[in-house]
Amino acid sequence: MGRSPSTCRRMSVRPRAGSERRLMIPSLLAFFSPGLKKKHAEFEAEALPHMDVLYNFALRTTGNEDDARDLLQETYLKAYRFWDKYEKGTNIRAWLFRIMKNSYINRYRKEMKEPDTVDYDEIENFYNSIRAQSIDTNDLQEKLYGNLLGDEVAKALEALPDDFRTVVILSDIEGLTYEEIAEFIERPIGTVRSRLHRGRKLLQRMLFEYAKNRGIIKTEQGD
Amino acid sequence: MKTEKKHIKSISCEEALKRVFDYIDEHLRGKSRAELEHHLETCRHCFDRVEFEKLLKSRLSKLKVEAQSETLRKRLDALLEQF
Repeated sequence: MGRSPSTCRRMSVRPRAGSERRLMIPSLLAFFSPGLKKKHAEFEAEALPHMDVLYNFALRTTGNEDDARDLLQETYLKAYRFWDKYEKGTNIRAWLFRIMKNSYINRYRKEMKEPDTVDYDEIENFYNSIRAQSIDTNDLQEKLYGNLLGDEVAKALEALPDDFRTVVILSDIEGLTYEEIAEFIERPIGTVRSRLHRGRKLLQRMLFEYAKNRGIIKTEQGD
Repeated sequence: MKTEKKHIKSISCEEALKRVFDYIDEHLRGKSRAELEHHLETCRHCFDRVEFEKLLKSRLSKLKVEAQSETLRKRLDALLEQF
């Protein structure tokens, strides 16, 4: 295993043709201030590589590109401003996600979906009763995913209550570990696990409804 | 191998269902995992169910979009220049 990841990252920000401008220290002040120059270089090397994953999260959370860009921008500006507060060597991605989450809450608090409106028992029952409803999962699988568009999966995801959506996005779209997610939501791993499971069950419930409404799946009610 | 299997406890479909998510997330270990896998070998329905959950998970992962890195970087660079 040759280079350490940090070396690789540093290597990757070395100028490719045409990217020199980006590496230039912006203000004259920086030219005279080695501290600022260092800060800039560190920030470039450590924080910027996570932009894609954060943007994706912002997009899924806000539901549109404009808000996602604004949220990303705000996150990075704050991260830059508070760069001194970041403890070197700790999980940078989790730190950035935390900033993003706080920005999101401050900005969209009023619009946040209340998880209380969900009847969890009903979801739980549905999940356990897929079999009882005499639905062959193999058949369901084909019908549901053969016919449902990605749009509907995205729509269902968007409709999830925030707490669950966050965990599902981070786990199943972004591929973060339970540990990373726990750090991000500042809850124990057990909570990550239960929210993820519930989130997925909720999603299935919604997709099932879409499929039923579109006549993709027919069920005999009251089975 | 055959003798080992005899010691694996049989679990019900309900019990198997509870473990499915941990299983597809690779969080199920040891005896717990062996019991589920044994159940999946013998229960077609639960086997299908696992496939179904895996599919949903992979469907979700496809929602990942290319994040237009270049555009975003340019915007950020422009902003950072104001500092």
